[in-house]
Amino acid sequence: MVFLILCIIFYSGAALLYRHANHLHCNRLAIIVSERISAVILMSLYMLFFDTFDITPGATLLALAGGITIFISRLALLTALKYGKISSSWTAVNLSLVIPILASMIFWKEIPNLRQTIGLLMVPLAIILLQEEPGEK
Amino acid sequence: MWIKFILISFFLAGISDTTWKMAGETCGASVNSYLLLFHVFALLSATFAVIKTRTGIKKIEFLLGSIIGFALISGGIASMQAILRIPGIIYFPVASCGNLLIVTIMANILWKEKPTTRQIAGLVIACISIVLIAL
Repeated sequence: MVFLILCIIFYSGAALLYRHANHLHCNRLAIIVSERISAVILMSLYMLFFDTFDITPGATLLALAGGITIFISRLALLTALKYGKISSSWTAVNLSLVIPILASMIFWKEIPNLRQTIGLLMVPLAIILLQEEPGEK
Repeated sequence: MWIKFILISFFLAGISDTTWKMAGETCGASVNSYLLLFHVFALLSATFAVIKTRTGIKKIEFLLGSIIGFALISGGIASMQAILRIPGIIYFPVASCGNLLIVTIMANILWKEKPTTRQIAGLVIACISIVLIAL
């Protein structure tokens, strides 16, 4: 349970700090570079002490695609925070879990059950509702 | 404007998460090396953009960014440990909805961001859909 609480605190903290950085008019690129520097350092330390470096061409290609897309995604999220609330923006981005699920259905033939299908269908509705109302901001 | 940027972020975060899933399926023992390279490439992309736009990094930006990076990696490690110890049926709904609720409550306290009734309905539906998908 301690790890569950820590996980919630760390992820929520990161979201709130994104908002705080926007509040302070911090440069979005500067925030992302700094964020990734500490991520690389921490991950390298983790690898050094708990794992071994085993770099394959497949892993490199996937990491290249994933790294570039997460960079642009974060840039767009920080820009979105200028126009909307952190609660709605963070929720909408968290809903992106539907995309790997759809990919799993297409590439690995993982068919969702009825409950998951209903959940997937509710995602667009949630995003529409989370939008700022006209004239609100 | 919000919807445009949030949809870009939504789709690209989803594609990025898909590469995690693909790495999990195909990389086997080198999955942690994938994670390290993932962060390295994200850093290189950001560094390229910083150089191209001649952006300077202030102390406060470096400090905040570093704390965010630390929080994201630590959150990832805590999440992995939690999944190993707690059944998924408890972990996924509590972690996802707990995260969304804390962010909403804290944003209300810190910046007086009061969600509208429609947005509260959106948050509730988002929580329900995450629970339904993840369980």
